[in-house]
Amino acid sequence: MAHTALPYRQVPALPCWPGRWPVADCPAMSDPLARPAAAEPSADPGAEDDARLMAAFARGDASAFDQLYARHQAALYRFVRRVLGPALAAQTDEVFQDTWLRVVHARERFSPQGASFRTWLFTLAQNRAIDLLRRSGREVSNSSEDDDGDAFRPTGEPWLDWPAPGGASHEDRLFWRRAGERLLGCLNELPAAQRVVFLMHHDDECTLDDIAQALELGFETAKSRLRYAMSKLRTCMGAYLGADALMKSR
Amino acid sequence: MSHRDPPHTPDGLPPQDPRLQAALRHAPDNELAPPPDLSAAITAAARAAVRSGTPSAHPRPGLLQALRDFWQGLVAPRSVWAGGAAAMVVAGLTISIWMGEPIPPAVVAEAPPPAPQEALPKEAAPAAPARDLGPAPPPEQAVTRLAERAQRPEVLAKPAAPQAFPGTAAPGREARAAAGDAAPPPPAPSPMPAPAAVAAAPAPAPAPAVVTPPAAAAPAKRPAELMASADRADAATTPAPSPRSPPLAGQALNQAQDSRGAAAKSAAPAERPPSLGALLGGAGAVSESDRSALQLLDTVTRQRWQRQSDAVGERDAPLRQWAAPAGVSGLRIDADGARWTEPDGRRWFAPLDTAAVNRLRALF
Repeated sequence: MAHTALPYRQVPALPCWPGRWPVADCPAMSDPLARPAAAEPSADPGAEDDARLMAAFARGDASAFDQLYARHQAALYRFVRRVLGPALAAQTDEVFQDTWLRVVHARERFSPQGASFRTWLFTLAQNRAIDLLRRSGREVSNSSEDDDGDAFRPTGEPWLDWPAPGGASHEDRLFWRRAGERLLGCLNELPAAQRVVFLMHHDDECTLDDIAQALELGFETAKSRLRYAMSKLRTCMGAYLGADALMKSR
Repeated sequence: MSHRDPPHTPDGLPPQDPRLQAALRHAPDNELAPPPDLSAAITAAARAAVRSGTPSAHPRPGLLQALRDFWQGLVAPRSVWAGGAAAMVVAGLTISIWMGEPIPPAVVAEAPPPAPQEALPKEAAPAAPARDLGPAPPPEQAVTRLAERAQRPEVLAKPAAPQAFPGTAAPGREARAAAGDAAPPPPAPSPMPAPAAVAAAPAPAPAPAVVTPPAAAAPAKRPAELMASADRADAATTPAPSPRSPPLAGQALNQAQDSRGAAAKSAAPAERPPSLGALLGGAGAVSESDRSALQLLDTVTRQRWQRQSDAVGERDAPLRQWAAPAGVSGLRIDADGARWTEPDGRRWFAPLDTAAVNRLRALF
């Protein structure tokens, strides 16, 4: 596999989430070390648009809801599916529909001063999904420190010899496809509480401030859940073993 | 060459890992999208809700909004005011409950030896309901009763009777219900007692705990029967306020609940709300698991549904909702029963016992 090793700072910026942000307004991607500017919801044009559309919907403009739905439906559906995991995949439609109906029902209660619409939407979905996980008998831990995070202490350098994420070659795309498959499996091994925080942070690009507020967690709790999740996922992905290990394991 | 990621950003936050993100975006489920018919059902439900202008609208006047903001500020994490406010609320509640109450322990401590035998038949009279406000006994008898009550182990040690609806049934409700079944409602309140007796008589609040032997001896009733008989007894006894029995906090709560129940029962029971029937008949986007749960709901609530006032409060927000061509229907399971919201905003209530409520809560 031909790939060029790049220092962390030179990793090419990833394309922003389709329909989520304009690339130019995606600071988390342009500088991975920078704290995402989404910590200030008012600075996010996407969030402002969402708030405006939600206000229009609350005033009776049904087409505003159509735009909101078109903007977020794919990401929300994917999020719900990933939180529920393969065991409860059949319930994805139910949770997805219920989440949107809650949006319809609470359209006049949405407050743009709080979390962004997207964070609120994902929080509604995760609440419903966690309910379902609990009812199905799957353990959902609410405590951040009881997730045996302390038992895991990885050693070695992560991502040794892995290709850069933006590689355009066929081999690179194949590699990342397999990495994605493996990541889904690794996600299912995480406690649901850590899975939710990781997906909101990495998939939906919520800030930790937003996540803590939306999930009604302390900031440190959200941070430790994210840290444990990332450590476990890196280990599960073979990040400390080198690229060959991942390819051989498939 | 290693690609070691910095463990944290300069301000201590874990950064987004570009490789984990890349793996997420190349995952095979990345192209997942909701089924078209599901999307159509959701958008149709949104349009229907906008057209009918239903129950989603929770108009919040300025004062309510201000109270909500204040409360959210209090319950925010790490709020320094939350503890103080909670302490004040508890203290205020305690003071309001105990204000005007006598202090039974002091009376008991000074009480004479066990009561004369003639006091018992009066207490155990089966026709005397809990709210019977007949002539008050002389002060000596009242004191004697308190002392006797304090010394009777079966009264003190007896666990509370099982309540059909926790949180709604007051301790004396079943006693009143049983008394109401066993005897006709009492006549109008008797003439006012002598002022001395009024001054010395204890407040009537604790009385139901003692004046219940007939009810306790009666055969156990099913919760539904208890509810029905309690309602009959309430209808017979509630309009009997007495100037010598100022409503205590518990009684006021009972009366509020009774009036709420009476309002809910103002209409004749219906088999089921129309939109529930439509959903059971296949209308709308209902999953198989939801359909079976709705069928169970229909089974346990059939012929119990009653129309309610259309006033929707914040606490009435539905637990579950289903989209149908006519709009969104909502269901809420409360401790006293099930509440159903029609797409046009009409509201229905079906009283349920605790077992049924728990069963439904496990399903929805």
